[in-house]
Amino acid sequence: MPRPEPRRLALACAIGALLLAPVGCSISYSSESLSKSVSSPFTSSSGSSGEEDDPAYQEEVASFTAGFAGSGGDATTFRRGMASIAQRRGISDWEDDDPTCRAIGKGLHKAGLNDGRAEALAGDLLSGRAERVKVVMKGYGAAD
Amino acid sequence: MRSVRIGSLALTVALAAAPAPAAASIDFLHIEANEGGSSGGHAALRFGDATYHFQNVDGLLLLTREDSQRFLHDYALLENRPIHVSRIELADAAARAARERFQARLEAQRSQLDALTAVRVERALLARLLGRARGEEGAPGEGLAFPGAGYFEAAETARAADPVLAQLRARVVHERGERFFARRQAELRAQIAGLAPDLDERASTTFGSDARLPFAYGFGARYTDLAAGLVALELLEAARPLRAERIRSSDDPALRLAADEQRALREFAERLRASVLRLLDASRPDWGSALLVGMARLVAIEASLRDGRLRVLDAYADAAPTLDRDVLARRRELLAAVAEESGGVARAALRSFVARRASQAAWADVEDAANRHLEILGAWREGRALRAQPERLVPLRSTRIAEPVALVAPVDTLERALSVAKERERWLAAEIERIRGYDLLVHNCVSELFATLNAAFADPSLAAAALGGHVDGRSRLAFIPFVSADQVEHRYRVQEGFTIPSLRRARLARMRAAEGAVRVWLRESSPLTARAVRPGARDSFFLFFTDHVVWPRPILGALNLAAGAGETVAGLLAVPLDGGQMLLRGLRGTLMSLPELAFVNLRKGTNDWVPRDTWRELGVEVEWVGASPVQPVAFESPPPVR
Repeated sequence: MPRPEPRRLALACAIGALLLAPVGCSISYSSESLSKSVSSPFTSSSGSSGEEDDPAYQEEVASFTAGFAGSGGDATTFRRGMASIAQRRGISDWEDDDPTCRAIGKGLHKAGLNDGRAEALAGDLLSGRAERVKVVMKGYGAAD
Repeated sequence: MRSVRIGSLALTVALAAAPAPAAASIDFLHIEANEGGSSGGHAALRFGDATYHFQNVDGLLLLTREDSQRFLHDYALLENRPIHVSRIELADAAARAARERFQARLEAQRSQLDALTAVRVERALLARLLGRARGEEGAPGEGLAFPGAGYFEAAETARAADPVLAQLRARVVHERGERFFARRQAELRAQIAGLAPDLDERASTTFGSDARLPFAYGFGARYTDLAAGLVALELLEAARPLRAERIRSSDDPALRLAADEQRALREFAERLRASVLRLLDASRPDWGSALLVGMARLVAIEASLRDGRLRVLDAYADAAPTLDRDVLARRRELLAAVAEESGGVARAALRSFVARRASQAAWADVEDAANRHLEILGAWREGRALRAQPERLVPLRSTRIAEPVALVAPVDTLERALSVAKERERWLAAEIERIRGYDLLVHNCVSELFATLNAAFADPSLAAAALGGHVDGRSRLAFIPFVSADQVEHRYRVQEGFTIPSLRRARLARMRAAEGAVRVWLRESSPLTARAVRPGARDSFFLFFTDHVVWPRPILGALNLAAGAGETVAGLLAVPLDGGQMLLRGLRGTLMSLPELAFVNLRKGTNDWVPRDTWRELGVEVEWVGASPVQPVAFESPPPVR
């Protein structure tokens, strides 16, 4: 009987191993681990002193805004959706949060709106609060 | 001369036609197997500071985005799994497209899961409203949950009015009139009662992994939001105090407020007070729940400012699981070091709060870090159970209101609405199961990683041009992580490949250099004598590590098998005492030893906890990790936790 190639033997062993482990890719001890229980997301996302230091949150806000601006919808639905996103980040009053408002502006830019349309939509979304619309437009202007 | 000129011209033309050098790279990560949930290995893609990978969560294959440093900490340090990196060179635009594709898939996934959660809440609410309409008694504990309301005492047990909220109430009455609360509550009740449930039996269509379901502000959410407003007004009107056990504090030095931190906190409290007052008139749909959390936070912050000691709301989820007591008992000696580090993290969060001008996100970070530190202190010094919640801690403790406001809609309307909600729930759950259900061979962490990456480009030929070749994670044996890693190395434009060692391997290498190979081999071969790592509390019992040897593997594996079998037998006897925990560990240990007989190593031991800056021992390039590690606050013995 010809000797199996080492590569095929290794593959066969790997398959054998996999057959014994029908739960590949599962979460490894996420809630059972002492370390993962005590590890705070703070040190991962906020090492610097800048305000925009939670890129995942900023991206989510911008993307949600861009999606809304692109597909249309009423301002109330937008505000409720934004509240859910902000709540997950621990932000209870997103309208008063500058980084959130700037990310909204970035989202309006991402949606391809011109200045005028962006500002008008920002006014709708921020309940007509002029000082908050200014912050949104700062984010719009800073987007590349 | 002419031939030289022609030659030069040809060279110039050739250089002008050469493709622009690639400006970006992404890392394909092949993570070796270990005992536990990933016995077949794992795969991920790193885009700078973000690493994306798929995980099997209760039968659903879900995409996760993690901070790259945290990913490294979890896999290479805690789980002792070497990570083989293939750095793929590609154009900047291609790298951006790939990252955006993963982000889009993540957002689509979130929208689908959120939609399912929302319809489940709506279905439960409609069932309750229908029951009320029919005059049925609700089951104990049934009712609508109001996040944020759980911090306040119940009316029946409330002590004297909270002074902070009493002051707020007085200001509201002064600015809006004596009848404000009564008028606004009556308006809300009328609004709630007049809500029309959703009867739209929209056609159920299939959708794909990338389908971002539009956010829908449906009946269930509208009802809950208005009712939250009602609850918030009632609590403010009564100036209801907070439940003592829901505000956490300690005399721990890490939580003492410095002068600039108090100033920042005072500024934050003023903004919070203004926010609470503005929310009373806001047209925002979530004003009620924002008001609940805002009021609770304000009371906790004012208490912090009174004695210069940080107080935070208990931000763990209502039903947060606790760490297995056995796991904690086996590694209790770690808690002092863990507490020292968590104190440093809490301290750093406070400093960051000042630096970030007291933003809401910065305060949320303080709440998260302080909660975890207080939890560790409680477990360490008072033997309390340790709640385990890896996700961000957000103060949303809820209370259930058993009697929601009844709708004026008739019973048959509620019945139809409930039927529509049930059908929508069934359809969403079935679709999500269909597109995200885990399958070892065709829908797993490897197949979906490549499917998502390939989908970033318009067609396979463009994907191949961008990446240097094509890998299909569903073809033949490519679903096995090390097989796909091999294909990546040979087919993609891999600029370089390197291995990030596991913590144990990194330490063994240094020990060998310092003490000599033989001595280290002898000592470190067994978890019973090893110094590089101590066995994790969750690890099965085994006699020998086999990840660092090849030819002796079957012999050592046979000994491990005997040990596993022994633990299994002991576990059988211990079932009445430990509910089968030792038995399960023994079975797992036996299973993990079997591949070793065929030269295959899976088990590598795990670490229950390592300090945050342990990544330095791996020799990993700095770009993988963030800022400098947190400086721990050293103290002798922690004061009691309140």
